[in-house]
Amino acid sequence: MLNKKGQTEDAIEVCITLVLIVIGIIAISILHADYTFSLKNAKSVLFADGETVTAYDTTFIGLDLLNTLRLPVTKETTIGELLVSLPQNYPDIQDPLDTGLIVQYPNNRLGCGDTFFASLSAYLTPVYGEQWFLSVFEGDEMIFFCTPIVAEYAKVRSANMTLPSVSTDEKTRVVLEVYI
Amino acid sequence: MNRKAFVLLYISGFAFLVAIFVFFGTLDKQTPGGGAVYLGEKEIKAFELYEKAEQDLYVIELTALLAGKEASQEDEETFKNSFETLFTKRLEENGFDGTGYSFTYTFTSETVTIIGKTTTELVYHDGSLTYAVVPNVKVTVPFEESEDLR
Repeated sequence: MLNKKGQTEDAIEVCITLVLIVIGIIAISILHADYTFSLKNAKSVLFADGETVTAYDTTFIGLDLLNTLRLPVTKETTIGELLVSLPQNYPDIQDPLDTGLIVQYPNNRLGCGDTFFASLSAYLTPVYGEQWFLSVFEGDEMIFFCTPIVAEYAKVRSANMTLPSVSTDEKTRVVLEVYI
Repeated sequence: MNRKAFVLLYISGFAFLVAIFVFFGTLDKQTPGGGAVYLGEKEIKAFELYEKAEQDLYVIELTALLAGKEASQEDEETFKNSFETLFTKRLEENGFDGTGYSFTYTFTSETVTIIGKTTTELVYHDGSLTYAVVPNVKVTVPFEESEDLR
């Protein structure tokens, strides 16, 4: 059996061990929390809705929207120019430029004609499959949309740009959304 | 162990713990551009700044194009004044400074090329990242030139 001095030293060592164990548990808990936080952030970038792995990379959807607006839709007109002219042509199509490019649905909302859809689809479908949705808002009202989507999906990511309007006071807002 | 050895052990253990916290606590400051929560975080943020700048440059370019097309429908002699008024007004409506531009016009038989230069930079910040760009513009619009301007 240890003498009194030996017993005292044992007690000190036990205390130190307990303190170190507590410090270790705290340190491991902090590391675990940091790992979980980092993983969540990484998932929010890699997975569009934070959970689902999508077939399409939507990280730079804003740049894809910009490049879409720069695409030519006729010999002299880009998609961006055509879209900013839409408020002038809503609800009545007046600009002869839009003939064949823009169609109108029974509820007055505008849509894309075959030529316009082909231009958009040639650029967006290889990037986002048939899951993209392009729309134009004047104020809060959607005045135009164009999409190959035929069934209902869940929206995962979107980008929007405010463009100068041709003649109205309302700002023209172009929105590109991707669904899964 | 004797008491002296324990004292040395305590000091060493304490110093070791302090060193760990000092090192990891200042890791963000040691990393260029600050720490990243995940791999590629800083690169994506830098790219988002570039993306925002490109979108603004496009809006300025589109404003110039629309102003040029609208001005070209008016009298040829007032084209320059009309374009500059429309361009400045619409830029300001969209939240940009349109006052610092100087323009050069090059007329051909069917088009006019407008080059707008400014010294005012567009500056974008995100944390420690800064991106600056000079929003010069160059657009070509259809224009029927009169004999007087040739």
